[in-house]
Amino acid sequence: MEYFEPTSKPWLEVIQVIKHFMYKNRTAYIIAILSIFVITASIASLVGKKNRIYLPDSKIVTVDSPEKACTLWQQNGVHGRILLLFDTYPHMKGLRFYDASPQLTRWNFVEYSIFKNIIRRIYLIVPEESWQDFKLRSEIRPLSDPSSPKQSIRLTTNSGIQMTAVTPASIPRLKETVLVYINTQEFDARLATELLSAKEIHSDLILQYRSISR
Amino acid sequence: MKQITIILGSLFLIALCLRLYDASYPSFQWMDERYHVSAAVNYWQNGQFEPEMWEHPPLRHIMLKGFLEVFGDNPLGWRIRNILSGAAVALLTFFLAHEICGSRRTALLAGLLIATDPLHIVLSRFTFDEIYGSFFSLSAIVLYMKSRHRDYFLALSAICIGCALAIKWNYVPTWFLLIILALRENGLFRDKKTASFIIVTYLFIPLTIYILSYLPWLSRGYSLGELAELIRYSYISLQKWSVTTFDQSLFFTKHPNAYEWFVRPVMVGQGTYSGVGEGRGEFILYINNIPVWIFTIPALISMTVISIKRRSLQLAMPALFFFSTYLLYLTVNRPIFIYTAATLLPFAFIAVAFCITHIAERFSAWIYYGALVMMLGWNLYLYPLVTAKKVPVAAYRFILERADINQAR
Repeated sequence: MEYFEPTSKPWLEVIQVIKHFMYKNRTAYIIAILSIFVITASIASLVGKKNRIYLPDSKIVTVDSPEKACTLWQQNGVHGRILLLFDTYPHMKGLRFYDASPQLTRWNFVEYSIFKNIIRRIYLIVPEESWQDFKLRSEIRPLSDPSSPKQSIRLTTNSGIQMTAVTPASIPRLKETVLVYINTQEFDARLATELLSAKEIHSDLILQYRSISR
Repeated sequence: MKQITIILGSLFLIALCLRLYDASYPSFQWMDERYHVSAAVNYWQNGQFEPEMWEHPPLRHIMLKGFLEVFGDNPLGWRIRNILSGAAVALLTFFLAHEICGSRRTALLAGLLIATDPLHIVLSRFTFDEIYGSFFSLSAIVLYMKSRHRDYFLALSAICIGCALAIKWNYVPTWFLLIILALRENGLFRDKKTASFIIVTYLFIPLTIYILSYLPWLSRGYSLGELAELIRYSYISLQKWSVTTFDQSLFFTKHPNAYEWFVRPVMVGQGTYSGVGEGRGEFILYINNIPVWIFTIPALISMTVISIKRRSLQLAMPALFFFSTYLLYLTVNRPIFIYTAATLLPFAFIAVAFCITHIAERFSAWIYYGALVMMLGWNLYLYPLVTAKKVPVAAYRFILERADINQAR
């Protein structure tokens, strides 16, 4: 009641009442704004989590061409996922690269999966022995400091997708169930799956690409 | 009808006509329009920023998608957002000048300078974010200035600055300044409840709008933590931009610094020559209209000196808003192109109009009318040159020879 003090002049009393009303309103207003903010933040959080689609069971599938990985993800209905990519740096030219609507090819299956909202974030696994060479590649466009001793670099892409290059030892412990793609020409599939177990990373769909021609 | 209604109506009509006339030309998506339009659709449908750059906040896409829904996917649909907000900026400049200077003459001159400025007109006829961004930013300032302790005006002001921030980060200095000014007013920061009210209003309303603008992106599976990460890396990525980041055929890259804008001519664009002996041509030019803009810095300094003499913070407002934002443009670690100057023009022209009115009041009213006629005459003379009308080259040769023009013969 700090704004409501009795006074002898009636017009001053009216002002006091208005002030008191404003004072009370302001508290309500502050609470309302903070509540709206909290509700918005909660909805924003829920919207993201609700739109991640996982498989009920885990499976390991072998594909004989890279683009079949994307087809398989689409068939399984996965959405909004993290991909652990045991492969070379993928095709990441962005939508401006295409003259017309992008078509799925063996080269752009990762980027195409981004366009289709299957993947929202990528961890690109780079073998330890290739790490120094990888950092020098012109197309990787690092956002974090590549000279850092930490074997993890945040990369920029035209799509703004969150992509991090890491060595096997630097893969973070991910709580979220991930999609895994292993190019067996680049990585030993057994070692890769052992690494996932060691890091306690769970995947509902591990895709291994083995070329028939080899 | 009241005189003020006639003035405001006429000002808006002039600004609107200059922006709307033949705005469907070119009939194809020109320059970045092809990215802006497809990014608006892509963002709404898929929550993706491409083919626009991902570093900028996405309210722009939602707004454009809204206009496309109402006006259709055609030249008017692509551009009407800028046409309307560009014309509204002239009105807002009038209101702000009137609030600051208390003079209808000053306000009218400032409003007319915006309404007829060649750069502002050109940007209003395409999809540049500087026009609707500064519309929101200016609305926030005007609402704050007119609030006079009315809470709902401050809330509306916070909504507007939230929209501006969700379009581009250029408006961060304006946002900070509004918070400081609101707290400083009559020592309001001393009263805890009022201070909390102001801080909550100007902090949480813009933040809420900012998060809401990312809802389509969040629906791709992202969390709020990932949004914070995206914002952090957007900032880092923007710091890494250099002139080479941009398409080198882009004419803007010839002038990547802000320091030139108010001191020497910057004229870039695209043009086609035609007719016998290439006697005619049509051009889309982005120019800093130096005969008018050159007065900006001296006018702002003079206005600041007067404000100090009169102990009036109100009179210092244009300089405060101008220099806080301009300092960002001068110091930011990325290329800044001439079109960004449009966000400064309302404050620049208020200062110029104030000084002209001030001088006219001291010496002769004819100075005001003379400046008005000369400045508007010059702006209107440039209008067909910058807006792709077929013009006789001879009449503009002295400009064309000095401009960096990509020619499409």
